[in-house]
Amino acid sequence: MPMDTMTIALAGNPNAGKTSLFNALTGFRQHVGNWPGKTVEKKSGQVRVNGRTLELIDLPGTYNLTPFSPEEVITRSYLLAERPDAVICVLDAANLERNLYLTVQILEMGQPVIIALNMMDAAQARGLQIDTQMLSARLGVPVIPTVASRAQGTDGLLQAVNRVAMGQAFALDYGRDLETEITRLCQIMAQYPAIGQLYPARWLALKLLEQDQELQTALLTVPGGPALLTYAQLSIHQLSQMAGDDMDVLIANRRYTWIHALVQEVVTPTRPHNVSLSDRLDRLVLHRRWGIPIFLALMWVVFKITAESSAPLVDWIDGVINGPVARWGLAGLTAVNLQETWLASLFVDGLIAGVGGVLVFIPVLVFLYLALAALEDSGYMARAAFVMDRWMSRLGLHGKSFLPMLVGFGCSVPAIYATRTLENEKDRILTGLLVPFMSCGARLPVYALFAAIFFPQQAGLVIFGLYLLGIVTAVLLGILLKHTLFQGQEQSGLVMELPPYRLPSLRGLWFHTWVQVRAFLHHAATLILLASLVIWFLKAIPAQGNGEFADTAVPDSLFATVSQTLTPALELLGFGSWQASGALLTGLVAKEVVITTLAQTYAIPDDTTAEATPTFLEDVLWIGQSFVQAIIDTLKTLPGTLGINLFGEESEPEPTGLMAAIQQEFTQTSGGHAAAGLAFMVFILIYTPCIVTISAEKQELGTRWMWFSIGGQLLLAWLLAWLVFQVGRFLLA
Amino acid sequence: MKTTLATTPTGQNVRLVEIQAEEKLARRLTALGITPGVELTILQNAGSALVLAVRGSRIALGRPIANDLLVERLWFVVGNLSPIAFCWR
Repeated sequence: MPMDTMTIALAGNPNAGKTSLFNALTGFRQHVGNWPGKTVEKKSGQVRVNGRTLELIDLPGTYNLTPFSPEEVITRSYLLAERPDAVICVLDAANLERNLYLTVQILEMGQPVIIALNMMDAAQARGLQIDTQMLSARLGVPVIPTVASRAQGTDGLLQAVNRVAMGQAFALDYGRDLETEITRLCQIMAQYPAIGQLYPARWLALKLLEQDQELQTALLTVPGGPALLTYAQLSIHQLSQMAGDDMDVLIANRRYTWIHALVQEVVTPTRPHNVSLSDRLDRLVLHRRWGIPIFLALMWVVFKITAESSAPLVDWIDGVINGPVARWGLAGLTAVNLQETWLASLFVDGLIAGVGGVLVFIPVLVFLYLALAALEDSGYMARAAFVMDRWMSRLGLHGKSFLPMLVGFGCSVPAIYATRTLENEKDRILTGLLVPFMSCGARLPVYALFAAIFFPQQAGLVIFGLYLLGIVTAVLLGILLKHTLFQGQEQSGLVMELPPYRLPSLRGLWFHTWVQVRAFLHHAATLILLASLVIWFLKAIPAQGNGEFADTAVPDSLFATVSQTLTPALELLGFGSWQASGALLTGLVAKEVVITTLAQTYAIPDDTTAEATPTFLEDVLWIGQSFVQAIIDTLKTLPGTLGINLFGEESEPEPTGLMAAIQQEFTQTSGGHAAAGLAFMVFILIYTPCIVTISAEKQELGTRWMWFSIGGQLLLAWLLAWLVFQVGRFLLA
Repeated sequence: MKTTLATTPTGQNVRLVEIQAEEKLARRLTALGITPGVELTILQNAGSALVLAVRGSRIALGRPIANDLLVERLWFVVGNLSPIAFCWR
């Protein structure tokens, strides 16, 4: 039947290469959103095949179709309600038995299935010969071998969409006892057409025998539903007298028995099963003594790459935005005769300072995401969770919660999103609450500035101590929350697949990174843009004195007046000035804005004024040249990540004017105690990371927990900073 | 001899007899192929979690969960493990 558009869903286990296949099929033409009312990512994309548009929907990766996890509920209700024109089940060919469990259940729902037998290369490497024709015949659906990471077999897969048969009858034999009850329930359902319209009969019978609570509730409102439920209870009673087991375990067991027999028929090992390389690696990587040192060494490399290799590119983007881009923008404004108006100030102090300040961090994110994608795609991430399980279990969490925390050292935003990999809601929330205490990359510049001002001799030690303080705070808070708010909640243990190690493909790495960076840009740009404009307007509006709009001294502005209201709260912490409170206030937008704000409020003139304005051509040349130089510098840092320093240290020029101004201000407000500087850094560490994190928290944890998190962080930041200042006053005196 | 999975040493082959976990957890385990009657190999049992080989996958299980799994030991030599496995312990 010719249709103009077809909807095709992709389903499969996590680690079966579903995302790679989706990417290979849709390329960059994909849309990322959320499933309605859920925090689970929904990806869709379009492909045109033979003049027909195929709308591809990437369903969440699941092992099962129970009503217990959001991913499974989404997959199930999507298949039931939307009835896609075809479902591509993505299977790991090297691990057919486990992967078929989900496929069989989707077949039982009467869905028009096409099987993508993915990772055929891995199966061949393991010496597994798979009879795809036999598999196709036994399941009654097309089976297409694919290697998604190299985009092999994707054309055949899209062509197979034409061959998909609607509503084929798939039924596996569950054994006489179960089949009797299934048949009985199906007969009862036949009397109530309303039920048959909503659910496939045989599938519903099985789910009722499994005592699926969601379906039980749903059936109460369907005509004939209550009667059916009563019969189902009778059947369960009958079966449990004979079989004894829990019904759902029994059904799973029979399903697996059938699949096991099928796999024996279809898969022929061409050589005896040996200990795989993956297992041998695991003996070392998961070793109880070597596991943690290996983990720490890898983390060290990741942080070095993220922090050091990205630095030259950060400087380059910074230079491009503040140099040529700013000049071109101003030139554009000059061309339309707006150069001396408030619009010019909005452009330079609002847009360039605010939005530009965030764009500067793109290289950091790119390197971080590349490193994390490499860890993920290689299969190491799951091992890291295993190794860290011992430590995390003391916080009432398990190893999987460690992964978001790790990401949190780079940036809190993706870290909060990473909590969605946890099955248990309690784990998701607790992890999401602790993630912001992992000191993110944006806080580092602030520490660096303040440590250089107040502790020039021990700057490195102070910064390291701050990172440690964040971890200790998270640990203590985790223990506290475990025994208070989350008391009595079941401690869910670690249940996690360890996928075989794989060499990550460059294509896959770049894709992961690009999708993440794009999401970040979209998210941050909208919020940061808005926040930058708000701050600029606050600074532009005169609240006292005789300044005019956009031409007022900062101390006379509405910004200073608003900041002033917060000052009394900070006096006990040793930094009760409107400049400090203003910096902390704008720090809510993003931590790097703290320095920008301080620089602007102390009105330290930039040293760029003396330079002659370069021409457009010179600018373009300079952008190109400095980019090449930045790439070279980045490559130079790479040996350093392995602990080898070939090129010597480069010292950054210090903004001495700003440092002196800050020191003077803090000396005044604290009565001459360096502890005030330390307290300020502690406050920066603990209080709300940034507005993007807040919005991520709202999305992932819900509004209630978002406010809890904001309130808790502010309170904790105040208390800790107070403690540091009051104690430090005596100790450092 | 019935014991729990948690007390089974590395390298041992076992048959799963019973899952004594609550319903939700039991379903997660069965979906991963950890069903009564299945044969498992303990690839690692040290620290707070274990690694099993089951139906061709490698699954990490927390120790509290392994306590809920009743197994019987299978006493025959398996080609799956070389003597190296025992050196690493």
